[in-house]
Parts: sequence; C-alpha cells; structure tokens
Amino acid sequence: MRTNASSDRVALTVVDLSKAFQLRDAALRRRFLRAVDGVSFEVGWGETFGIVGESGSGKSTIGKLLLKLTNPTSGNIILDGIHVESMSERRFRPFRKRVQIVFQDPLSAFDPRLTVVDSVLETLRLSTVAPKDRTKAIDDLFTEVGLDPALGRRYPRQLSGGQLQRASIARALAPGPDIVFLDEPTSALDVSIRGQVANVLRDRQEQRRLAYVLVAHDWTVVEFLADRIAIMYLGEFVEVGSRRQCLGRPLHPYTRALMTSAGRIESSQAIRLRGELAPVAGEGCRLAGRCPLVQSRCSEPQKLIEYESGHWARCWRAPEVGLVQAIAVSSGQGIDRVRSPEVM
Amino acid sequence: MKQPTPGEALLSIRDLNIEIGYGADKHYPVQEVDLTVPSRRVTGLVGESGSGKSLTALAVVGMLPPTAQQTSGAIEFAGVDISRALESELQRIRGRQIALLFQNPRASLHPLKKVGSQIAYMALRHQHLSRASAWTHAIELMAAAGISEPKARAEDYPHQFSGGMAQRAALAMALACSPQLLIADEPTSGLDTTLREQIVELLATQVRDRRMTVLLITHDIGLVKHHTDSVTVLYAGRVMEAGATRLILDSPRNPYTRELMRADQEVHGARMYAIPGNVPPMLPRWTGCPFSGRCDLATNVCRDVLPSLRVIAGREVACHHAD
Amino acid sequence: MRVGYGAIVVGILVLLAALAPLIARDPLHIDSTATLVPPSWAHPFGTDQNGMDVFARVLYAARLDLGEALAAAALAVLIGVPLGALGALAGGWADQALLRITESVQSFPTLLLAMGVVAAIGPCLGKLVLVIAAVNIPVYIRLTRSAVLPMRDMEFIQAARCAGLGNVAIVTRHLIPNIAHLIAAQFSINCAWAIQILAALSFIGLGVALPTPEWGAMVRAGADYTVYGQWWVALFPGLAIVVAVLSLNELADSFRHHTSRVR
Repeated sequence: MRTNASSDRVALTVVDLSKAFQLRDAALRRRFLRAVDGVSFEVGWGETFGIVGESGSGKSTIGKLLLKLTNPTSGNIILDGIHVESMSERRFRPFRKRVQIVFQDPLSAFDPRLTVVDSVLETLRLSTVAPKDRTKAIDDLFTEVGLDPALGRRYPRQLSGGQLQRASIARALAPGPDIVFLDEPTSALDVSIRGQVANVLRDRQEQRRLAYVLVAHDWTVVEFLADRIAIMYLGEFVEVGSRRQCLGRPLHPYTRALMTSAGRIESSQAIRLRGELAPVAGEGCRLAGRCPLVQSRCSEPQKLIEYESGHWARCWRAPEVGLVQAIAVSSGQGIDRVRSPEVM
Repeated sequence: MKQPTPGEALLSIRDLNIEIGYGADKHYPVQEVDLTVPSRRVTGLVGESGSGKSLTALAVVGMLPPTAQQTSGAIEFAGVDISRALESELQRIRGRQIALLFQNPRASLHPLKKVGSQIAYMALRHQHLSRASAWTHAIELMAAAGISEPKARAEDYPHQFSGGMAQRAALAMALACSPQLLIADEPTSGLDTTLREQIVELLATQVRDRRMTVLLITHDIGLVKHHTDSVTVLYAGRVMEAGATRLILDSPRNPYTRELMRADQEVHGARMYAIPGNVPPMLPRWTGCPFSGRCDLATNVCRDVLPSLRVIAGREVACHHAD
Repeated sequence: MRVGYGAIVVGILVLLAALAPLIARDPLHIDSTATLVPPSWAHPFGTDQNGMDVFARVLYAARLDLGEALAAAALAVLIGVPLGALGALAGGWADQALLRITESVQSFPTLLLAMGVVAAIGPCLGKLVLVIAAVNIPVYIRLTRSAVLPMRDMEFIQAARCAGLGNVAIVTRHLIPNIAHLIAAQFSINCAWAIQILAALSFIGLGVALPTPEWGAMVRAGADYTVYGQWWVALFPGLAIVVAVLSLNELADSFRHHTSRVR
C-alpha cells in the first residue's frame, strides 16, 4: 500500500517550463516549435509523477530538460529547493548525482564496447564510495535490482532486454539519486517481462524514497507506478490529477481518446479522434482540429480548469464529459495543481 | 494456382525449420513450425522477441537473411509448394500475389521518389496499366488506406509524411496489385496507440472489400483479440497453441498463452505480473518443452520430452499438461 | 578479428624492414665489378648500374618508405581525430570553423600541393613527412566528424553526460573506441597513399636523392635500363610498392569488417 508522502519539502518543482526550437521549413521560413510549453508540476519524496502522451507530445524533452541535457527557453526547475534552470554545466555537476535517468531502449543506453560493470562504474564515480569499495557496491546494486552480479562482466549484447534494463536501473541508482527520470522504461520490453522491471522500480522507490518522473504510453505501467498523472499533448498538459481521478474519471477528450484505444473505456464513453497529430498554429485548443466535441469556443485560448480538488483539465466541455463542475481556473503561471491530500 | 474457397487454407506451412550461423554459433530460431492461413480471413501470429515469427514470414517469400537457412518444411501457397521455388518464380509472386507490410514504414518507401509514383509503379509493373491509369489507381488506393487529400499527398515525398501516414502509404503500395495474401509484420509497432486501432481496422476492411487474406504478425496480444479469426502462438521458435482466436484467448490451454495474457493485464497492488526468467538469445535445438524452465506446471516429462501439437478442446496445443 | 592477407604481408614487410641490417648487405656498397648483374644467389635481386645490391636497397628503402608513411599517417591521426571528434561533439561555431578549414585545404589537389611545398622548401625528408601529414589532417577531421555526428545523440552518450563526463572524457572514453576500426582502416589506406606520394615525388625527382635507397627513386633510376633488358633494377622496387600498397589496402578492409562482429 502506498503511504502519503509526508515531508515538508518537495523533491522537484517545475514551474512554467518551456523549450522552443527554431526550425526552418522547406521554404526556409523560421518557425518556432514549442516542444514543451508552460508545463508545471511537483513531485514529492517517494512519489511518482506520471506523464502520458504520444510521440510529439514533448514528454521526452522534459527529461532532457530535467537532466540538463538541454537548456530551457524559460521557466524554473527547482531541485530540493534550489533553482537549477540557468546553472552552467560546471555549477550543476554536484547535482548530477542527485538526478538520474533510465532510458527507453536499454541496448542503445550502454556503450557496446564496455562491459556492463564499466558502464555502471561511470555513474558510481559520482558518489562518495571509495575506489576500494566500488566492486562491492556494484555487486550490491545488482542484487538490489535482481541481477546476478556475474552478469556485470558481460557485454550489453549478451544480456536479455529485461536484464539490461535492470542494469540500467542499477546504473541510475549507483550515485544515490533523489530523483529519477524514467523515459518509457518498459516500452522496449516484451509484455511478459515488463513487470520484472516495473516491480524493481517500485521496490527501489519504496526503499530509497525516490521521486520518479515517469514518462509512458502504457496505461498498465502508469497505473502501477504513478501517484499523480498528467496527460500531455503538443507540449501542454491537457489534464492533471491523481491516479484515481485521471483513470477513474478522465475529463479531457484526449485522455478519453487515449484510453479508448487502450481498451480502458466502455463504449458509451468512448472518444475517437480524427486525423493525425500535426503542429497547430493559432492560440486555441491544440486538439480542436481532431476533436469530435469541437465548437467555436475552442478557438479561444484554453486554460487548465480545476474541476475537482487537484484534478485539472484544459477543456471547457469537461463538465459534460466527466459530469463535474469547475472549481477554479489556473492563472496560466505557477503550479497548476494543489497538492491533493489523497494520493491513492 | 488454384483458388481456395473462403475458409480453406490459402497458405499452409508444415514443419518449417530454420537455422542461422555456422559451427559453434549455430542456432535454431524456428523449429517444426506449422501454420495455416485460411483464405479471406485474418490470421494472427503472436510471439514475443525471439519467438521466430518474423523469420517464418520471411521464409514464405524466400527473403531470409543471408546467414539463415531453411533446412526443412513445406510452404504451400494456393496449392503450390513454393518453398523450393526459384528466385524468378518468387519475384513474380512477391508483390503480385503475396504482399508484405513491415514494421518501419519509412524503410519500405524510397526516400527520393514521390509517394504516388512508388504506388503507381507497383501497378505499372505487375498489372501493366498505362501511366495515367496507374496514377489514378494509386490515388484511389491512398484514399482507401485512409490518407486524406490523396491527390495532393501523392505528389509528396516520404519524409513529408508522418509515421502513421507513411504506414498507410506502405499499405496502399502493398494493395496496389490486389494481392491474395498480405503479410503484415508488426505493422503498428512504433505507432501511437490511437493509430494502431485504425491501421488494424483498415486491414480487416481490406479483407472484406478486396477478398484478401491477411497474416497479422505481432507481439501485442490485445491487437489479435479483436481483429483476428484465428491465432497461432509461438514461443522460442516452436508453436505453443493454434486455433480460433475467441477460443484460445477465452480459455487458453497452453501455460505460456495463459501467462502471456496474465502479464498483459494483471496488476495486483504492489506487484505487476511478469513471467520470471527470459528467452535465451540464441536458441538451441529443444529436446523438451522450451517453456519448461519458466513454467510453474513443469514436471520432469516437460523437460525431457518435446510436447507435440495435439488437438485438445477444439484447438491445437503443445503441452503435456493441457488437459 | 580474422587475420587476413593484408595483416600478414604488412607484418612481413615491417619485419623485413626492421631486420634489414641483419639480412642484407650494405645498400650503399659499390662494387664496380658487378654492375647490372641479373638475379643470382649472391644478389637475389641483381645489382643496379652502380653495382649496389638491389635486394639490400629494396629492404633498406622499406625502412624509409614504410617509416615515412607510418609517421605521416600517425601525425595526421593524432591531430585530426581529436579535433574532428571535439568539433562534432561541441557543435556550433567550433564545428563550423573546422569544416571551413578542411574545405580550404582539401580544395587543393594534393600531389600538386606536395610538389609545390617541396619545390619551395627543398626535399628534406622530415619536411616531407610534415607535408603529407598536414594534407591528411582534414581527411581525419571529416572522417571522425561524420562518424561521431550520428553518435552524438545516442543514449549512451547522454548517459555519460548524466554521469558528469565532459566533452574530452566522452571523446576519449566513448567515441574513439567506437570508431577506432574506422580510423584504423583510414590509417592503413593513408599509409598506402603516403607511400605512393613519396614514390611519385621521388620518381619525378623531387623526393629523396640518390644514393639513398627509396623505392620511387629506384624505379626512376632503373626505368631507363628496362629497355635494355635489365628488368630487375626497376621491377623489384616497383613490385615492393605494389605489394605494400595492396596489402595495406587489404588490411584496411579487414579493419572495416571488424565492425560487423560486435563483441
């Protein structure tokens, strides 16, 4: 059973984070692509914040921003109370041991020319473990993730997908981080073994009180790991709420469409989108071109509206869809949620 | 080639064995596989990584990778054994009678040619239409595949297409010659969930409208649930269970099928179900049940004796404990 | 890596060159009584117009040609590869600057460039090595760059960044080991090319001066005598060039094929 996160400080706060890319289209015109557009959320110690979205939603870019693999265009990233968004690489280096990442494809996440142990050593060096104790530390890590330490001496290609992904988790945990970004950790694995990795993630989180930011498109994994969920479309959060709220009463048409395709919604509530994901110009709802519920009011800018305590949706028609009333409308800046007392 | 009646086998694979590599590196990705694809139906071939499903499909059209060899087995298509056919005969069959749809649509499309031309080319080459009618035909196919504004899109190049559209274009190309059989190998992997349904429904529509047969190869058991008539389940190179989809998924008799479905759906509070262990990356010649190492019903007979496919409860199943 | 013909032959050549003082007689020893003697037991490759033993000269010339080639290629690698890798990894103006420089150098036809430099500063051996190296640095910069660019966004490189590794560490620890086989292949080809350039320069008289034994110079000196039936003077050094170049190319091929067998 999940317990309520009880600390007075959160592990990670993201405020109004944006990342824009400048592109030149075929006619050499400059176009701005806002991969991440004004995203805000909080993650407490021992909690998981799940982000669900399809390709092009910007979810992976959030990971790159949190790991400082790229710099934000605007917004704040606050790790354990400290602003890191405009830190240089040198100033951020001490933080690297506190925030780590698990990549989607384990095979490309390891240097093929190094043994697995050598790759794990790379992050272990960020910790304070003395060189003579490192071998033991790695053996312990492997055992923690359910891997035979002897596998460490092999090369990545010699391990199965599930084993390698667990090694990837060991590598992320080696420096003793507080926050781990999980970028589709089970997507590249067979269905029959994704549970192996999911269980390890859950156990490690409980034991070490890790804060997870989980990006996934697999509802089963999200349901299993996430405490709070955000659904992302074209750079924006279109719905945010607790696991129970989002899964039990999805408000936004896009959330419903995703759950319909996943077979999680009864036909009376089903929504299917038209057309394809495509960049949208203009200020109105980005889903308007594909949404079966579209009306003229949808061409106005849409804000996140709180319909239940801690449950927000960026759609004025949510009341019809989810049978709820609006409580508050977000100001468009700051944290778009109230830390909801119920985490289940 | 004789035309089978609907429901009769259009493609029949018997005792297929494929080996890869030489000497100490030799392994056996496909072992004694039987597969029946009835005409005018959608048949599913389900397996996870290392099951041998893709190699089976490639063997049908004689497109195995250079290090792989089909060491035995008969592949009958419309009554004719094509497993020993010459390359020239196979070239006549590929595209024209058996079309293929692969996982990565961009890999199927020539990056430097307009999409419309590529589709029209198939019609030109195999059906000897005139250029003009081939182009019109291409536009019709793109529309049938669900591409909006097909006339404009036909003039585009593949890099201007999104992943979903590219897959539809690849499908249009596959349909260009009205093939009898379409083999779709993981056509929806890498596509977003909202697209998956659309693509597979499209395939089912084609079966109805064009009197086609589809072999859908996938690891996603959810996909076969709603869209296939019959299914064959492969594990580590061998057939575990085969028969009517409804029957197998509602009451599986092979432990692997059961476990696969369990892993797909089951979340129990603090534990997400997974089958313990893993498939070895290079498969040996199995002398016992390949799943015995991970099966909780396994007994000594499972490890020592290869279970053969028997008919039990209306389907074929390979398991010593199926009853 | 399966040892191919290339490696064996190159190995033999290097061995012969190294052991030349033990195997052959003095290459500069003039025996005026034995000029233009055809191949025999005493002189396996015959003697040239000065009575010098061709076999000894071919072997000693190997030291010069192979040594030069190796030195020039090695120098080009040591400078070009790190520059290319860092430039590709860093991106931005550094990368662009490198590209422009390589383009400028590569737009000159290399043999002419070498000839021009030699004509200007004289055929000093050391300077020749520098010239050949300089001309090849852009090749390595570009090769490294194009090999590194697709790797830049690979997850294991990102993982290295997340482990706090800086650009230099990423280049030495991750990038270069993964492209080493490409560099080795290019190095081999480079050596072959350097031998050819050296031989060519010497052949037209701009390289090494007689009586120093050098394959190209020997071919030039012996070419006239071929007409008169004394084929051995030019043939053996020429054959040496061919064998060296072919086997180095073959070696390059086997380095390239190494990549398909990932550990």
